[in-house]
Amino acid sequence: MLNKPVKFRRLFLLIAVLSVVLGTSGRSNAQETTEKATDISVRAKLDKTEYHCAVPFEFQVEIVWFGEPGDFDIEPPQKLDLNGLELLQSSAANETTTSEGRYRVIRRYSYVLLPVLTGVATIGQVQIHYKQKTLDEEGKPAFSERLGLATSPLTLSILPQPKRLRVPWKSLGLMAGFIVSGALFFFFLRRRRTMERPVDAVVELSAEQQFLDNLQGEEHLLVEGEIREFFVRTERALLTFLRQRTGLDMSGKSAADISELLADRMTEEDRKVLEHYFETTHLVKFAGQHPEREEIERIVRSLGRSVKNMEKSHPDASADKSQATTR
Amino acid sequence: MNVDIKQLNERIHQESAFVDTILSEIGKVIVGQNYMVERLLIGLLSNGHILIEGVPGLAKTLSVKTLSDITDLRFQRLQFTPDLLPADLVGTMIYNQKEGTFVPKKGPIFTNLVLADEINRAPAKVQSALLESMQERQVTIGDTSYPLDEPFLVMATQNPIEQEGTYPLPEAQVDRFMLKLRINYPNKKEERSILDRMTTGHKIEVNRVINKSDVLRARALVNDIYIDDKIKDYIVDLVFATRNPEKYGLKISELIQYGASPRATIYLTTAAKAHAFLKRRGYVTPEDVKTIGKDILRHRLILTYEAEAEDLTSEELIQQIFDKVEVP
Repeated sequence: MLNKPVKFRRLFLLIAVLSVVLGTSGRSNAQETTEKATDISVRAKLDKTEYHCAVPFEFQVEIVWFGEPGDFDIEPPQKLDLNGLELLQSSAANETTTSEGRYRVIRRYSYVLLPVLTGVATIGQVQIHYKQKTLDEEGKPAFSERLGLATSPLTLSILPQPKRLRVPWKSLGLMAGFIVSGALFFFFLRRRRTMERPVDAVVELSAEQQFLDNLQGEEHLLVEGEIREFFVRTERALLTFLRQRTGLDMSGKSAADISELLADRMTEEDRKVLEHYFETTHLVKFAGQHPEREEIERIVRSLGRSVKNMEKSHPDASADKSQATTR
Repeated sequence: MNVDIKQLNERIHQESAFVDTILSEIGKVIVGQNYMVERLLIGLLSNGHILIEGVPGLAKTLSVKTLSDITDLRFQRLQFTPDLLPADLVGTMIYNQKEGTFVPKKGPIFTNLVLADEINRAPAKVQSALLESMQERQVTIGDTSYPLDEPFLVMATQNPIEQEGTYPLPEAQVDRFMLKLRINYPNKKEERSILDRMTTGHKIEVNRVINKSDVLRARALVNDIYIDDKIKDYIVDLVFATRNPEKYGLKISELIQYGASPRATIYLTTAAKAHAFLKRRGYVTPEDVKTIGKDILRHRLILTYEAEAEDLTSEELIQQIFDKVEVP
């Protein structure tokens, strides 16, 4: 007689397999291209090789590395080189998983594309620029020179627009199957009593959460008296966060430029907090002075609140990256 | 080093208190034009001359005159015309009939603040006489050189609308000016305020805030202002980006014929220090460099015909450089 956990597991597997068979019958094969460098890789992928004209689809670029999220400073990809396609929307997300005691970080850029012509469409190579964390001659953390990776172009066939509206029974079946199997899966997990070998936890971190985690992660530098290093790192994390949120390159922006850019995304009070943070950073970086530790902690707490307020007032700011990165 | 900068910061904060008072006094007479007034102070504090481009009637003369009243410095306005001679500027030898000797008669340039109005209307030899005295801080009359009094600041103006019959300053001479400003009309609110203040017939009096020795002491303090190595590297990167933009990832090499000279690096540094002084800080930040950078660089880029054909200005190219070069 089978026990309940085993029964549920077999039921879940059966439903999942059926859903995949039903849902994937008749679909074209996916295509992807991957380029690798030391410790980092970039992958551009499509779930099919054939699409219909005037029917949007998703194109993804994933940058993957093993290590800490802050080990690489990634610039958003350049504007996509599209032929026969139009960019409707873009967004970015971070995903961190653990495997065998190591972090695996995925930075995913998703683009919604619309085929505008039948025939052959192409997505040109996607160029990624990044800087890798390293150590300088004094053993202090630094970033390498700007490096690059590029994927190969992808070609896809664009078929004429479907003439009549069909009820997507297969897709509905696939969706229903996944909902049911997903519900059973989580139900099964909650009933488990003993801990087995580590399960991959998929934690999708927002840009804001990543920044707040970084802020917290650097607090040990305050305890160790490394005030300058603390401000250098937190400023870098803040600029990375602002770049992710606005899609704009922050490297050439001064504190006043940044404050002006965020005028419509932050309240006046939060902007003053941001400006005060930058003033303190300048005092530390360029005058070798710093306020008392309590004052620094207060400034950092205020900054964290302002970032949260920014997230609340402008949630999921999926700015059109193609426009934002064009100068 | 930390203790020195801390003391310097406190000292600068204390000694620069007069800046707010000067701006407040000037504000009694001049409406708006804060941009021009701040740059006048920067020029005065960092020993650099200023070239202003603006239509007539924007309070250029009044600003310098008011500044001279507030700082107790001597002021001379020189209207440049096509028939002006160098001797009208620097002075000449006059024959004394009684004694039978030639005696030097110093020209109007022997003052502290000079407003050289419409400098592009005078011929080249007059421009050279002024520019030489600006550079050398001395004037030779006969066979004797006479040093000019310190502080010595020249504010030259150019009228952008009347170019007929003018003698444009060559680029090499324009380079001698630390700052080139472009000033515009006031906004509606400011215009209304000008109307209210200037049509009553009453002269607005300003109080003297500092004197000549205070200005010279402030200059010495500005020289002492601390500038971090990262800021110095940033300044050098900005200037180098005007010469080799492709090395900074900029696709504007074909638009710039000649970039800024090492004079730009020196002036950018001293002006940034002066700007930090105005903000009552004893150290320079990237903000100081960016705020003053356009005024230092706009007249130092020589553009190609391609840039002119595309109707691009040096300000637009400088902005691209600022956006690209990484701020420390």
